[in-house]
Amino acid sequence: MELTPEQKKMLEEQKKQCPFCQIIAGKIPSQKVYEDDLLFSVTDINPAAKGHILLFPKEHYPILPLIPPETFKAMFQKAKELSNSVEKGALATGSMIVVANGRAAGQQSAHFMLHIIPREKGDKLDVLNIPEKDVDNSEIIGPLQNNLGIMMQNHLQREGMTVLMEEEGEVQEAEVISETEESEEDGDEEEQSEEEKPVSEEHDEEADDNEEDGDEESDQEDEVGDEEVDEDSNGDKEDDAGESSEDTAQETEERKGSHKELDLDTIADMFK
Amino acid sequence: MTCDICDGKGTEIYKDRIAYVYIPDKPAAVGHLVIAPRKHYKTVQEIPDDIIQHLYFVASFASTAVYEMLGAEGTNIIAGSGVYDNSPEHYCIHVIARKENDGLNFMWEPKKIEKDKLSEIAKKIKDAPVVEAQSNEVAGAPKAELSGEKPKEKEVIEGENYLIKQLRRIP
Repeated sequence: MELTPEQKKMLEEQKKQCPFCQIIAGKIPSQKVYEDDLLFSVTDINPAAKGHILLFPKEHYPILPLIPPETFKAMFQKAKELSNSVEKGALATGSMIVVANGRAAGQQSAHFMLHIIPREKGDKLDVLNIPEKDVDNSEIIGPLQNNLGIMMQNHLQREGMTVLMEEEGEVQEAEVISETEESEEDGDEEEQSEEEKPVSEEHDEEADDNEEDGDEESDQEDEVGDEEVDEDSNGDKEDDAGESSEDTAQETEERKGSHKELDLDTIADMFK
Repeated sequence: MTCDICDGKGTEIYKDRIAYVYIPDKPAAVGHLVIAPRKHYKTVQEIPDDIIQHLYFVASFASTAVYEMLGAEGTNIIAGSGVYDNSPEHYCIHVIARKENDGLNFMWEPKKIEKDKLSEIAKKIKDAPVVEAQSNEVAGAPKAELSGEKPKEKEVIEGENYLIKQLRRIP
């Protein structure tokens, strides 16, 4: 994962004042429940229940997208194990994994961590249950299908896991998007389509293999998705507010120009 | 057994062989996605490591997607497992875009727990029996010790290995 010098400097400053980095270094006392090369886990001093623990990478990452794949995988594999340990240790019948990215979500420290909280009947922790409301999400369906599809395609390619992709329908969807973007948008579009083309070509080969193995269900759904995506693809450009606070000017510009491809790619690149 | 999620409820956003991502019929907010394994699992312990890792990768990308798309100020990623009031029957990971004063609150009232009780529970958690770690590389890979070192591995998921690992797994 490459950070710009400015970002590195900012992180260094953050680290010096980070209480969790100091807990890992042993400078602040804590109740440790797990430690290895990559990860550290302690009891939470402001627990939702007895047995509430925190699991975090030893390295200081402010947010989840900045965590490299190896650490990410180790962390969630360990989160599963520790969920079991928490349930056994606290004699609980259930547990939750809770992540808060950003202050509005309840993140209280700049060091990324996840919470593992024991749950049982009558624990009065209903605040952690997801409420059901009647909120209209229809406007974001198309853009989300598009963006998440591309992110996952790129991710699976990088990790060599394209076997997880379903059937040819989804691959065709990606190709359709790139053609649409070329005709509709300006500027960095050429960059974007160039990047997508080799991806699409590789996928053709993979798709042939996948067809033999895969199910033949959701072709119809994919076609519907195509239409929605084409209409809504412009809407994404303006919603680029997001994580720019840590970007350099260069990265911000890249992101503005080709939101769907490069932007998500930039973030996915951070995984390298 | 009827399970809404296995039947493909909600508005599909993304699907692959492992994960199904949808907007629930009664979302908690604008930018509420649910990531569920396509196979029916109720508890996190019974989900193979590779699947858990993939599900959370998807959740992380979903979180980035809603955050950017909506100009959100944060995201929550929340997953519940096991039995408690209103617990889910099918393991699923909720990704919710957040803003100040959005009417949502997941923050708990901190409980006061005496220091000796804290160290007692810490010890119990540390010493709890470990769910056998599932690794991708060699059959018979060593069990991950709670306090030991975990070797850094490059993992690649292949269809065959899932089945082999499932057979080797001790519940």
